[in-house]
Amino acid sequence: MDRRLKRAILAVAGSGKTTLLVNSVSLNKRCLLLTYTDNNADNIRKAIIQRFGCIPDNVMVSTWFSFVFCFLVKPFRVENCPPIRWMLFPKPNEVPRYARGFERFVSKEGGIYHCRSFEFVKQYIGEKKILNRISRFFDAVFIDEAQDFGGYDFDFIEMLGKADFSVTLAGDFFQHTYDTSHDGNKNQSLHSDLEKYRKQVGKYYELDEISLAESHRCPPEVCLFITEKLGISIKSACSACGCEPQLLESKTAADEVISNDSIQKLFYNNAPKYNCNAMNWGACKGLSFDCVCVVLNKTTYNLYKQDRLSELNQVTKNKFYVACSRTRGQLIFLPDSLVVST
Amino acid sequence: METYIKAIHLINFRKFTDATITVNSGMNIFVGDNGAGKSSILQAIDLALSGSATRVLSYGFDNLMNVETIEKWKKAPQLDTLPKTIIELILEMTDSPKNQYFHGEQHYGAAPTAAYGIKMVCEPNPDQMEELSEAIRSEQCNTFPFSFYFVSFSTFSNAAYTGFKKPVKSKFIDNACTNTTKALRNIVTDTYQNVFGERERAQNEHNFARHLNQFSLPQMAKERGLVVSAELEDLLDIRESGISLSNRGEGAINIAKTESTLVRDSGTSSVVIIEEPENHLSPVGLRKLVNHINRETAGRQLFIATHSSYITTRLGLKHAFFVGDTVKSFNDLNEDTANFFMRAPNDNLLQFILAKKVVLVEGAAEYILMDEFILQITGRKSDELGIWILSLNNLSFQRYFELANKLGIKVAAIRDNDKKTSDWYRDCVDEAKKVFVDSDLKRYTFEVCLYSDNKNTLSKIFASKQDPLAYMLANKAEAALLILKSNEKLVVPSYIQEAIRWIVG
Repeated sequence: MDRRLKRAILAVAGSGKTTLLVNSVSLNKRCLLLTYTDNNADNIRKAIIQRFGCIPDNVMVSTWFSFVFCFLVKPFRVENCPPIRWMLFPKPNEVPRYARGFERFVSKEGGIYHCRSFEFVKQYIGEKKILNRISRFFDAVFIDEAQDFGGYDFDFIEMLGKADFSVTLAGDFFQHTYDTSHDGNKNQSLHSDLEKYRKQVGKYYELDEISLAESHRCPPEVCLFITEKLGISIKSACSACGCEPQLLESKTAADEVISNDSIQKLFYNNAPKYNCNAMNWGACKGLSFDCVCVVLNKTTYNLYKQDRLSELNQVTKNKFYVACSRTRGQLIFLPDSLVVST
Repeated sequence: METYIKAIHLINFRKFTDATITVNSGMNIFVGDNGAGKSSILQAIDLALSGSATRVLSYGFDNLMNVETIEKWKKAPQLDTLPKTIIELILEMTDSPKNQYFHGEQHYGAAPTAAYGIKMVCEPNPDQMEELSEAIRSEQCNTFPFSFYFVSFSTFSNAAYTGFKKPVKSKFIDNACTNTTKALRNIVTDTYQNVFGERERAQNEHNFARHLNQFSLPQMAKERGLVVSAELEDLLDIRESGISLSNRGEGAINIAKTESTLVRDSGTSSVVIIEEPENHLSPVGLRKLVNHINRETAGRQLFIATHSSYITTRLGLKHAFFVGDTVKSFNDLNEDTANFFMRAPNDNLLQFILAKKVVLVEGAAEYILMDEFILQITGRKSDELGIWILSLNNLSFQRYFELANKLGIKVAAIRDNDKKTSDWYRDCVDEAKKVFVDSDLKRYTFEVCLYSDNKNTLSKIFASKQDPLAYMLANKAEAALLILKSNEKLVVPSYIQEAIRWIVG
């Protein structure tokens, strides 16, 4: 194994990112698997347990912030720094904007702000110690959902580019729905177009746009819909499911879909308010369902009707793409006016 | 062995204000006087590995913290100078992802170098600082504010350590108190858990509960709320030839306990702590136990506190630590010397190690008379003066000199000149170690010297013998006893006088 190998795999939805990463894990190298959401970390753990029967001693799976806090913040001494006891997850406007010194990173009660935690680590512990510690325990690092590393956390991706262990990134540019660390203008424009992202990552990583170019989840009908309507190119490796994505506009049809629990309903937001098998677009990343019903809010519905979905704003479009690409089979759309909330 | 304890760092713990003890990956034997801190070291290892606050609280902070530190603080009581009690175990581990949890810079070593380890810290509770400062202000501080202290366990990565994720399995065998019901229960439980795995035990307990359910007390009992309630493990007993373990001698219990622990989990790396294994054992029992320990140590790290020379020498003097004002390791002891003490008759080794001043004499005759000589010259008894007298019985005094060198013991070796000039010992003496011989080559041995200085007195004592000197030479110990019994004052040969004055001074 080449410890210097740096690879970034640009994937499409359902192309088997997790499977590819988990298959790259072996018992004879020490592996770190990082991802952003708890859901995805659980998925990876499950896949590893399925493959090895347990999480082997040479493998560690962690969410990004748990990794920063437990592996990079806590073990190091930082002179004069007040004790850091936990990590805080404030909204962007709750982080002290003009604070200087340690107050910029740590609250009075000893909570480190998640969005600045890696900035803290970079500034006070330093690249050398960070890379040394990772290198002491791991031969290979895998980052799933790499597109979500934004703000200061993208610096981590860049930093790993210089490491003496192998690094594999896997991500779907268009599934970038939130930044892990959104703070001020740091790396703000990074995700605004694919070309720029490619260039930035390509400085340190060999880009692989072939391995995960085909979806093993979505049928060709769905892939065609996404490619044509959203302008996001995705190919299918599955056989046709036999029905086109369709918009239902009658109350009876809608009720039938809502009451059928084998159809996963995906809402723009407020999923818990609907008394059915529901989930938000943003939360369903990494999951697959046999049949998906994407509920359209007013804006999306109007654009859908006018065949102008590609004009959705970047973040909403990405979320909508995530929602549509969850299905292994049928894809149904419903306007939210036909769905009653509680 | 993959994981073992590399060093123990104690701050304000019991008698240690700040001590780092680097230990061996296999055998570690702690010797020292009563109250020197042997047991404290064992206890520190046990406490830190346990990760149990309850265990710490059962001792009480006041019993764990260094007394002088407390007194010192009381003289100038201030919130920010409140002392902490800290135990750190520095570990050797492999760089495996599962061990990252133990690795980091969060230890009390001066340099921020990353290491593997765990720590126990007793310190003022940061959440009660206001109450604490109030208590310090209002009080005269005759009471140390232990009530505001709390204990925490963490790894060197500052992750909480609970004892669930132990770096090594550990077992504490405390033979100082075998005869308690709890100690006996532990042996039984250990044995039971050795025989059955977790699943089998659950099965046994389930079966037992089923049988227990079938038994019922008469109605009367129910009216009073009386029920039969029992846990299987509490009811177990070990019997040998029909005799319950609790009715056997303490020695037998002791061996059973040590054996049951050493046999368990053989193969997996673990730490075994044994307090005074020699307690309640006959010499035969002791030999059995030492053989057992020697056989079962592979892949284990042992910590043993003992007062037994036999255990110390047979388990290897090189693995011993002398616990005194400081903790000294015998690690760099000459291999030959360690082997010498392993083979030699050993009943006096620990006496030597524990002494501050030692007079080494050639044989039994000098040994018998030396106390009397010391009294005569100094007017005081040897034990008052803190002097130990050891008889070499033809063993090499240089071996003892090497030990003395390590421990800073003052040693006088009183030797016969054996008709040789004094050049032969010149290399091994210094200001703390001296050899005393008669300079007159004709006075070649102790009896000759004594006789030539006390012809009249000795002729009187040995009046019945034809040739007193010949009798003394042929029956050295007997003759010495007769001299002692006679209560006659003798002139002490000058080289011995010189030795006594030097060792006392």
